Amino acid sequence: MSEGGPLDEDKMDGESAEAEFQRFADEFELDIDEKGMDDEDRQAFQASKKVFIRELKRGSIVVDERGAATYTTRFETNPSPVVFHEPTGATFMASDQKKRGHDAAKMYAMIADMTRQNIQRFSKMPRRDLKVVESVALLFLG
Amino acid sequence: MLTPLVRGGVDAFLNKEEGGHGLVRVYGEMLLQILHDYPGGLPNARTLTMTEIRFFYDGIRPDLYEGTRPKPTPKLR
Repeated sequence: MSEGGPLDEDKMDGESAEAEFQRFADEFELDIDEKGMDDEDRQAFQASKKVFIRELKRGSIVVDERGAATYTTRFETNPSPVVFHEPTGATFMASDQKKRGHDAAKMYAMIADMTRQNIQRFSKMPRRDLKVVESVALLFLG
Repeated sequence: MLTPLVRGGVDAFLNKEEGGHGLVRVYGEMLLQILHDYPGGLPNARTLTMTEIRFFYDGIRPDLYEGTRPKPTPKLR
């Protein structure tokens, strides 16, 4: 058994996965230069990137031609894709609708908007799938 | 985020004390700024993409340099 689920044969090598991650970061204008990060940010970024790369290699995350990432859940009863679309004004407004200090609620409001999914899907999502979704989201929100 | 905001007449990246230069902080501010500066001239704000928000913000960037440039303190006689 591998971390996060049954052992799958990797569908992508590490170098290609790194290139795909870079393409995704470029499309969403993410600053992934670790030199500019403090220790706390660097650790959080590396943890999210590690999950992203692992799922790219497994084929659970696919980056399309526009750079958008799609994660196909592995542990839901009925696995289905979660597409991370480019954030819009509504995404940023979604976080403002939550109370100050309710960071988890803000994050899920934004994830729901970006993925165009009902927020309840995430409340019922198995922890191991949710961890991947959160890791992708934290690359945006970190 | 790689896109700078404007502070004190120049491009600037927010440090941790200012809330960090993350997506929500940066694009949230850019969105509010363009809504303020393009009266009646923007598409639906809810549907503006990051690319569009950046485009409109870059359009007012020169005005923001000018408008936020530190003013010399008037000398008292």
